[in-house]
Amino acid sequence: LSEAVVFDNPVYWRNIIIRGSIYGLAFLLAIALILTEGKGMTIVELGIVALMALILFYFFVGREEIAQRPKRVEIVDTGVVLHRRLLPGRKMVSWEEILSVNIYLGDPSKVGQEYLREAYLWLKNERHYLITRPTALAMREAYRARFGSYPLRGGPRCLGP
Amino acid sequence: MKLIKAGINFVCNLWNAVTAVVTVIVNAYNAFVTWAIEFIQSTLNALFGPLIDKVQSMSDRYCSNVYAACGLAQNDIENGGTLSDESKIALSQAIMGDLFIVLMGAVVVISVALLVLTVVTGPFSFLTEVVASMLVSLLVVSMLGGIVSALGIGVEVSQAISDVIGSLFVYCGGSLEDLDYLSSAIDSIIVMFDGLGAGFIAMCPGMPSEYIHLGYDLAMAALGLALSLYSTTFTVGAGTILFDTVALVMCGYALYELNTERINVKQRITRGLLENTGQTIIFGIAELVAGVGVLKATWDIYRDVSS
Repeated sequence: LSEAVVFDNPVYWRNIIIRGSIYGLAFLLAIALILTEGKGMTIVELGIVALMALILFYFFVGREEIAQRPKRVEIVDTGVVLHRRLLPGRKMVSWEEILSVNIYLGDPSKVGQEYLREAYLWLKNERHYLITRPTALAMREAYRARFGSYPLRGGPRCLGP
Repeated sequence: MKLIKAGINFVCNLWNAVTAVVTVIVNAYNAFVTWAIEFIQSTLNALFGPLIDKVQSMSDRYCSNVYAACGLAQNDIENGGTLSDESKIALSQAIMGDLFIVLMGAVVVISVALLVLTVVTGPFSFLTEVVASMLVSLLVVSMLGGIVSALGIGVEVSQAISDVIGSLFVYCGGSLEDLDYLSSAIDSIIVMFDGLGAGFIAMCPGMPSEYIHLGYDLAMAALGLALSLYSTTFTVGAGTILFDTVALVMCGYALYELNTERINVKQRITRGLLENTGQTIIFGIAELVAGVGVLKATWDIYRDVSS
């Protein structure tokens, strides 16, 4: 590549809303269960349960969309540069560090699976990052231009061409 | 001046006298508490001893039956993909075996023993609750202790989780020997519900075998939620904290595993190795169950500790 190509990597709000609503519903159900015991509930107890729900939400949903989804992805000669979303700074990932770029090769709109528009960048240390489909396609082409073949697909437990 | 000195001397003497009296009272109280705990323990041991022996002798047979039924179910899944009626009957009969009847008997014995000891120990009946809850926990773990070795199934429970439960158990007054039983019991419970999870997946028509871990996790989450819902029914005092902690750990572990498995399944679907025909919705249901379990158990533990 003669010059760097930069891709925006917006948050996938659909994922946050759908999976976030599961934790919201869990919070409401837990409150309902607690109240049916007839022991009542103080404000502090409500706060503790709400805090726990928020921690679960961040740990299982928010973290993926914030810490593991770079704000921008830059494809350069030596690899890709991942720009952090909240904190300043960037992470350089060399081509050799990449384990796979997992992407659905068919047309996602035809199979009706909205989330197949999302792709994964897996590193050899088993960390993964969420990237958009155009970014992943460009990354695959850049990888092929350098190594002569496309990168592997799938996660660490289902690697393949 | 003399009056002040006399006053100070008087206060000092009074303080010394009060301290001496308080020390005598505290020593007497401690001696009584020690005696009461030993008395309650020996009474409950006398009641539970034969019961535990009987349960332990039954557990081997129980495990063999469950293991045989699981083998039948596994054959069915491998050959036809669905569970035959014979296997379903064998599995349900094995799980709902004699051990459940004995467990019901144990609940009755515990209830009566608690009632009697509460009357005998009078104002110190809170000690009954503390000691009894430990023995109830011991009874449960004794019953389940042999299942892991009988089934011979490895279970991945991280050391950190075991350490947390172990620390709490020792903090509540349990011995290290009992802790070994407890660890086996937690593994056993997970194995039992792994079996139920496999059955659940097998009974769902059209569910690919790749989703087998989803069944395990759903079953584990459901068990955790059930433990937190019924912890106060089964046990009291420190035992309730213990049960709620186990519930919290199980639901949390199920949630963690569900997310790991969800990412794995998503990779397989994206790569085209697995077709998504709606099964992934069960991930949401399992996540909901585990989430409710974690939140309920958190509240339970806070309420137990603060009260």
